Amino acid sequence: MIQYRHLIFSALFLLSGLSFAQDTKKEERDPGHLNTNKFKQLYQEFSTPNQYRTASGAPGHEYYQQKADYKINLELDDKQQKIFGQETITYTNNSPDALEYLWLQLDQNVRAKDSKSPLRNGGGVPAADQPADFVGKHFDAPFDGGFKIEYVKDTNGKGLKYTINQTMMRIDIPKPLKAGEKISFSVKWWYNINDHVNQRGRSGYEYFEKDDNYAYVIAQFFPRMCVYNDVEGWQNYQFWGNGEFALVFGDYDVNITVPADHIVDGTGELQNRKQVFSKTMMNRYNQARKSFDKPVMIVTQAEAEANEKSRSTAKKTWKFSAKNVRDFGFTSSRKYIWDMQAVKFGERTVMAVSLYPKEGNPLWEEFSTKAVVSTLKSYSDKTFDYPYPKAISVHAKNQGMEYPMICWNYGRPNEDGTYSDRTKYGMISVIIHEVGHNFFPMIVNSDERQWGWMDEGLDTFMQYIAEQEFGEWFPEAIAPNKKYPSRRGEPAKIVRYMKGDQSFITPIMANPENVYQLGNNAYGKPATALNILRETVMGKELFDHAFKTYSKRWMFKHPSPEDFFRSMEDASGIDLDWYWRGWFYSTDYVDIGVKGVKKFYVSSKPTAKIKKMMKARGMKESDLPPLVYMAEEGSDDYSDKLAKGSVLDNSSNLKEYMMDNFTAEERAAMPTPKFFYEVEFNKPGGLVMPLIVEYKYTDGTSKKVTYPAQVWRKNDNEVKKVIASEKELVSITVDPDLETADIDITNNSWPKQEKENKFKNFKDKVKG
Amino acid sequence: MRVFKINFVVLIVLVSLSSFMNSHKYYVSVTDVEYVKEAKSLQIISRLFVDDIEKVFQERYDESIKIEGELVDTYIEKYFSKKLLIQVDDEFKNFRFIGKEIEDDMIHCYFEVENISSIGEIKITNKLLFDVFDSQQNITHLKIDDKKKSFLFIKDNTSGLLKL
Repeated sequence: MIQYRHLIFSALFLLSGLSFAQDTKKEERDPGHLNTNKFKQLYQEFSTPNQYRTASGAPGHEYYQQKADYKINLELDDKQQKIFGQETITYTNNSPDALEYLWLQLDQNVRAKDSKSPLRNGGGVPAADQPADFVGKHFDAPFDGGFKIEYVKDTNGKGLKYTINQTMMRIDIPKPLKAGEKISFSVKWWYNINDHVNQRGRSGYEYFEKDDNYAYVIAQFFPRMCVYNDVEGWQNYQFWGNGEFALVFGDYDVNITVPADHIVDGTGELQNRKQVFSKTMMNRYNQARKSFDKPVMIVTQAEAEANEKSRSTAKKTWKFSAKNVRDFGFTSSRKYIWDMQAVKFGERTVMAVSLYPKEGNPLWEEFSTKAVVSTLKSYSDKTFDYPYPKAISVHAKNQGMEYPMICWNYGRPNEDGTYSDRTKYGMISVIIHEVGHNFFPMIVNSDERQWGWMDEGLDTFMQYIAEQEFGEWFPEAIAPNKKYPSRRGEPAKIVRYMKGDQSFITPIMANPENVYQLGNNAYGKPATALNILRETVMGKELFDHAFKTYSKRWMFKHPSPEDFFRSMEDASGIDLDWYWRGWFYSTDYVDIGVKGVKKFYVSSKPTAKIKKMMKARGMKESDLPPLVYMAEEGSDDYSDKLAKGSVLDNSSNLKEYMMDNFTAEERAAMPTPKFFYEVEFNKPGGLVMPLIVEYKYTDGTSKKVTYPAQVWRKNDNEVKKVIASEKELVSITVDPDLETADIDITNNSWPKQEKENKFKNFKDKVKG
Repeated sequence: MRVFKINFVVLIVLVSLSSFMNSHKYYVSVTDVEYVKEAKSLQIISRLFVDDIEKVFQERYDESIKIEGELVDTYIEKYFSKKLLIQVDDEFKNFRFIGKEIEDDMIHCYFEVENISSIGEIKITNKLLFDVFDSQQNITHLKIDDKKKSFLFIKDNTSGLLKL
């Protein structure tokens, strides 16, 4: 009999679904569809794993990369602001392919008179123009930029045929360069250096009118090899200005000839320190190598100010040598103050270095080297020990730009030496960011031309961690703040971008030339996405291990986006395809809310809904097994009596079951919930995310529950949860700590909270 | 005419390309104009990069202006009254400067036009920062009653109309 009843009972509920489906009969059938599940794996989006790049995200057993070694002789003409150069490149073809020609990058050509770069942007005829803009647009460009190539020759001095296509140069070699072969050739060139302050640029000079001096921050100054690899073939996508660089690792020997009174520093180790340093500088340098707690001045402000007045006609050559770098940058000026501090990594001593004109003080002497040291420690802890011998921060007026071992950073005080917090934190943050770029992309050498986010996003993510650590390590430097005021990283800070007009938003997985709002697209959003992944989705331990795995796997190699995505999953054991799909491949946003709450009480009487189902099947109450019924508050099934009684009073079936199956002692020890809630959560936003909920009760206690993102896998719009509780619920809040970048928090609470009006709040505050 | 419609979105702010690389390489401001009928108030919030507005003020008024300085409010009022024009039913409306706040590298400026009991049509002219930055783009969102419209203003197209 009991078995028979159970059958009917099961049938009743199995069929109930069907009966409802029949109630809402449709005239037309929906068409079929492909798999649109948000948790579908990324087979279509990802490239197929192969012998070069494995499905686990590591370099494959036949992974290769090319090598380009440079010997460069350079002269800086400080009178005319020109650079004259001659280089010999030795290129090693480690690929399995024979190369019929070689591609080099001529980045300076973006400033050539015939550059197409300014032509790529649209715009109409304005009603009026400022005279300078007008001249710049409609008269001949006043600045004659771009490389002037004098020759390209083979090792026997014979000219090689070359073709220049905008910022790219193809060299036609007499016979294909076979797998494993090397080729050497020489290039001679010169170019006019641009004013990086007024004309903008990642390289150039700043002119100081008061003392008639120049400070040079020089990069992209030589024809450089393009990357050839298994992903892009030759990466010869033109340099238009936004997409940065894709570069090959190699060894550099660079001799830089400058006026004898200039101070120079750059990528690599200085080979002839004794020739270019004075005795005093040499002594100070030796002290600095042992000074692990504070910087030592190599050139003091007084000495730099005296040097500013010098006009040496003699020349000096500074010789640098760098191993395994993807690029070279240097700086040169009479104006530089110079300080250094030592940092220990295992047995190695790394030098943290700053160069700045007096215009940077008092800010720079106080914070620059401190920020360099702090950055090297923070980033090394999360990736690998900083492998290069030094890291330099150079003060340039209004740009931040990174090169191996050296970067330019802004942050200039007012002329009277005062500065705002905005200038100070802007400066420390940019130093952390640019020094951090040594890790991404200088060492973990991603393709910036194609994927801006792979270095900018990872670096900005790490920058947030490093800034917070800077604040913890130097509380006096950030006082009266308790926490470093990071401008990116916290989820709430990306909300304005993500809730913005979709016409101006591009997925992260896009070429930097073609995105709107590059700052948010390639820096802010990926950094925030990784921060949320670390703190909310994966947890710090699993994330940090996976992030470190990726960093170590691709250190001194060329990773692609899939290598990052796959490594993060492979090393953590967490399927994240849904996360990459949503955050990186789409412009979806997070919006999760609580839609409604129903309250139920346990009852002995079949509810109206059950009765309807029984009637449809011709069943009587006696046909049913003992059941516990749920009566919704406010419905016909509900009475005040239910609210007053305990669960066991309200359901005789439940009471009998308890008495039959548990001893009095056991029953006394069991918690008996009294309140039953059905909470419906909805998800107007496209992104699936963990559902983080805080339940608050009448007695003032609260409970935070995180349902995994997979809670949305079968219904992308809404999900219900049943809450059984001894205490009555007073409120429910979704994402109470703003961890998920939810773009609309007005639907996050039950009972519903008043919508905030930013304008009114501000006005009330101002009125005070 | 380059007009972009939007559906649900009221606020959008294009936060800077911070200064990594050049200070920030594109020039964008965002202005929200919202009509609150109960308060008979047209509420305006403009968000601009601090660097940009500082540069405009320095070129226009005084080389030494800093956004943290005392007189900045006067300049904001003066500048906006020339560069942001609002016509409700063909009549130019003066707005009151409520105040400003600085968040990271953006400045948020608050203005209000009071005593507007209804709006038949509204015309916005937004010439902010075009006097210095050629490639400036001013995104402007209007929300009047239940209608929403967004404009992307560039130097040669600085005004847009919304009919209710």
